[in-house]
Amino acid sequence: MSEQLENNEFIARWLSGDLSEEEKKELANRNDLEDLQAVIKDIDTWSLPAIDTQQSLKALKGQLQKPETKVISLWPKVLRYAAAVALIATCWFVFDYAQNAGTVSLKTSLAETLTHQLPDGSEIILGAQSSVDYSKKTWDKERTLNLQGQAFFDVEKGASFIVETALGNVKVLGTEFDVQTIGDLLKVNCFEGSVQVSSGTVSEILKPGQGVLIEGNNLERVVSDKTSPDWTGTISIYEGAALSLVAADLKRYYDVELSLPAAIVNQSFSGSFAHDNLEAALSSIFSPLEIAYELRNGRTVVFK
Amino acid sequence: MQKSVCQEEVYNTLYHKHFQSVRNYVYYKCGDLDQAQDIAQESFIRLWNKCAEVLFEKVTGFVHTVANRLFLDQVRSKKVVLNFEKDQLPQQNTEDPFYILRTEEFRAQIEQVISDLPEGQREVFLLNRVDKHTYKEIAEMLGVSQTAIEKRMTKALIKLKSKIEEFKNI
Repeated sequence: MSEQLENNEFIARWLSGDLSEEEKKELANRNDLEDLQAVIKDIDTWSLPAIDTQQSLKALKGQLQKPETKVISLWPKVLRYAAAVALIATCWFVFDYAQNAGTVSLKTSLAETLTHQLPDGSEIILGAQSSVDYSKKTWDKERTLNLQGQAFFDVEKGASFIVETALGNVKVLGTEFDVQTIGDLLKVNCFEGSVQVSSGTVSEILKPGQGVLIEGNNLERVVSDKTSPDWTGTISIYEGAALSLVAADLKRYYDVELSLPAAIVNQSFSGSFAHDNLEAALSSIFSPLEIAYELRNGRTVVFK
Repeated sequence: MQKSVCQEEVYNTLYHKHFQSVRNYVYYKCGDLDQAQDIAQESFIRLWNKCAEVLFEKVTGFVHTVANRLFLDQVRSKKVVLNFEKDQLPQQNTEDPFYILRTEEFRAQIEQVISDLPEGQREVFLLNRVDKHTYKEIAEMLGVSQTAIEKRMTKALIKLKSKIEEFKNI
């Protein structure tokens, strides 16, 4: 009998009046709860001494403190401002120092070119995703700068002008020339005057219209009739360039993900692409070569 | 705007509403009215100190939980003996079938049975019968499920029922 009372807390729900209709029928069959009901009816009248809560609350109030409010010391705030001021001052100092005395660093990001006047009036046009730095302080004595990526130089006449790259140095007297490093490839074109290119054991003097591609100890001469590099305009122009090189250039002008299938890496490309329209650029590179591709989400090129 | 326990009117209302319940709850545990009163007061002091952190809806759970913890911190008296104020017994009619259940002696025995219940069952049973809290309210106070409350209640009632039968047959 008592098992049934325990089942699903039957007896607790009987007391609170929460039995289902079915359970109520079950209840009608039993008469052993009457005594319990009578006792509980009595217990329900039991009580404990009532509390005068007004009184006890009053007693409690004496023991209460103001609710905790967080005390924020002014010091950290003052220190924060002081740190900010110090930081700004330091930045200014470093910036100022770099501008007037120390190293000038120029950097371009994706699809950006930058024209910069050197202290002697020579001009650099820095290609996309490239960087150059030089010392302003020693420029008068030594015209040396360090290049990563691609830049065009229009050098004023004067003492030797040296472009250092990780792959080799280019030394000139007043002239116009173009230097580019892509991966392990050093590419130099001369447009005016003369340029000496040296890399490892290889050395070459370039005259206007001559160019050179150096990869390791391999040297390849190229000839062009242009008077200024193509990329400083709004398009890049190629004559029989490896497709991998064209793709590498494309990635510098556009935020695009592209990996050439191995089969077409060495195909040669003659033509150009614009710097301001990705879809047109892709079409002008791949359509003439009959390479099927698809541009997804505006930034991923997939080859079929 | 959300009611904040830190507002004095809100706190006062909560105090009047829940204080007796907390006091009784502790009494069911320890059987000492003075100790229960002190613990209940201390619980409400804690509520005030934490008023910024306790949500209005969680106050009843908070004060009962704190009271329980304070009770556990104190040395427990081994045996709990509860005493309730009871109405005068009505004029007895010996022909009443429940006559025997309504003697002073019987009442004292029942009071003893309740005092001897395990703490968990005892507090649930009395919060329900004396303080008239529903199972759901008790579940909220103690921070357990309603089913857990019903299980404790079931055990208390079965025990009470079997004791009544025992007493009647003596």
